[in-house]
Amino acid sequence: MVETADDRLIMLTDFGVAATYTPSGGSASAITVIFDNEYIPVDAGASVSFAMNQPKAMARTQDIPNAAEGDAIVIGGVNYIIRVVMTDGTGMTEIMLEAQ
Amino acid sequence: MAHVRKSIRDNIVTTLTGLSATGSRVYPTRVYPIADALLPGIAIYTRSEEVLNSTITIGRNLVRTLTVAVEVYAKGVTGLDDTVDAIASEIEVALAADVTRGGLAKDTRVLSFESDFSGDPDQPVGTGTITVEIDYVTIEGAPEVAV
Repeated sequence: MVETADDRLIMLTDFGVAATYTPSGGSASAITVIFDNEYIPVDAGASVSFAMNQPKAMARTQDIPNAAEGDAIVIGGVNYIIRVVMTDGTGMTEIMLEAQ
Repeated sequence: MAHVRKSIRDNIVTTLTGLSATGSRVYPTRVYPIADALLPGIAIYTRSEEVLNSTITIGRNLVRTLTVAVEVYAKGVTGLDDTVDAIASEIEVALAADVTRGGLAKDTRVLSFESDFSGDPDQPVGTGTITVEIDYVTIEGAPEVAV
């Protein structure tokens, strides 16, 4: 059976959190995303790495159809700017976030 | 007594502690990752040392050139390169204030600078590595005493 947008919404409803997405120059909309903010080592060329969070979120592509770098999203009361948009071609889009 | 190399490293730690941007966040020979609470900070490593025998007879003079890496670690959403450069500037000024490292060395020279940046974490991070050469002299068999 082919996965539908409704199927994806069920997944987001089960595992996601509420978010407010605001495209640059546009109006805000309430969406649901799966949010991840794990600690990762970040190598920036020196002797030791940084131990940092890496916030990213997964949303239905139809909820953020024209997402682009610079758009804003609020998750868990934290303001983020979208820095990288990765549409997977199957209806989901992963976005890399920068905390403000 | 400690090797003069350690004493020089200690001198650099003391010299770089209390700078306006980094304060007490100075980490000698840090091996663990650096988290938010430790930023912006400076890590110091005595990387390598060349030793030349400047006299022939036993009890030779050992002329040493110590290479030290002074690394800046910083994080921020804007002006990160400016932040790294500002800290690097403070470091250079502080090191040049006494090139003898408290009388332990003959000279201290800045050799090179490299920086790198990453956008992987929640905010951009950057590093700047200042490579410094320090000349000092000991007598063979007495590495704890600078001459």
